[in-house]
Amino acid sequence: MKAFPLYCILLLLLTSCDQATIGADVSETYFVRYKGADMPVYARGNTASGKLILVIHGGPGGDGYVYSQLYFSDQLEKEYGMLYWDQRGQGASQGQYGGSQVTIEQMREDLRGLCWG
Amino acid sequence: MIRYLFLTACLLFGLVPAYGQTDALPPTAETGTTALRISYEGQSGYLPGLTLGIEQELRRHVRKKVKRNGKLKERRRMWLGSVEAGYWLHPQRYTATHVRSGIMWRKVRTRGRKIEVGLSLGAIRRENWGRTYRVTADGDVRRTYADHRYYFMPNFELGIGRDYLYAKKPRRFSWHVRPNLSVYMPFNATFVPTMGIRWGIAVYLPDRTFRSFLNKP
Repeated sequence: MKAFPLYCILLLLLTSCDQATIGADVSETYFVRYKGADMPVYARGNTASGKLILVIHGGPGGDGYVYSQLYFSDQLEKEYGMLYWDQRGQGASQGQYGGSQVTIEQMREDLRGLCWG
Repeated sequence: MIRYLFLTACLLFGLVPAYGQTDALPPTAETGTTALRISYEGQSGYLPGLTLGIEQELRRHVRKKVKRNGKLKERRRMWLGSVEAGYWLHPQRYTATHVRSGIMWRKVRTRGRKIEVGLSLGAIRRENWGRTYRVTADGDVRRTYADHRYYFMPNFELGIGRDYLYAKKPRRFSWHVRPNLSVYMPFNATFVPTMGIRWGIAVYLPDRTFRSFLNKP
């Protein structure tokens, strides 16, 4: 009985963490650390719809975050969950890796890592 | 990375014996050898942050000249050592904590108007804002919080301001505006330069604060 408040707090913490990513109006940032790079993903919009759109920005030198500020993003976020992703070495991504890892193949692998994450 | 941290540590601890050298300074009434600095620091020009630091005068050269109209003209050139620690954040992306240590050249004119040039070395810890998923090549995913990375951070700054210690009515206070250029390295595949601006005040501590502390038997 003494542990009941503790269970309540634990339950509240666990549920609050999960509900943040799934909802009708999500606004959350998380990072995927893969092969020396920390790549931010900005989850926005209606992720409860079960349909996610991953925005892959142009570049090199682009930024995923700016797409969340454009006029069409509001409309899309009402219907779908939008994932704006800053690719390796671009936008707000950070990390420490060699120049040999900045390749199209590595970007493709990053995308796979992002899907796992 | 280790060698950068070693370099920073050398600079940080290298300033401690430098405090002992202040005994060589002529003890004048205007001496304000140690000051506490508090600055707002907007890294990249707009990120909010705060920097606290301490600066120590290491060497001073004073040149006085009587002008033709009988007024006294003074030029002070000084070398200072400084140690700083700060924090700033990006509301969506990261928070950053840094320490740096360096030297600064300062020129103060008659009424306390000053210009300064500084060079420092430091380290920065950038922490991801929110949770991080660590993904390995074999598809293993692990969730972590407050994941961070360290970077070596040389910094160059130019500053202007006014030192009221040398004004008509001396006060142990000064203000400064310092645009600065920092380089994070190794960052991603190479390095990244970043501009910032900081403005703030410095309050001079009572004379001989550190000297009396260091000379204790």
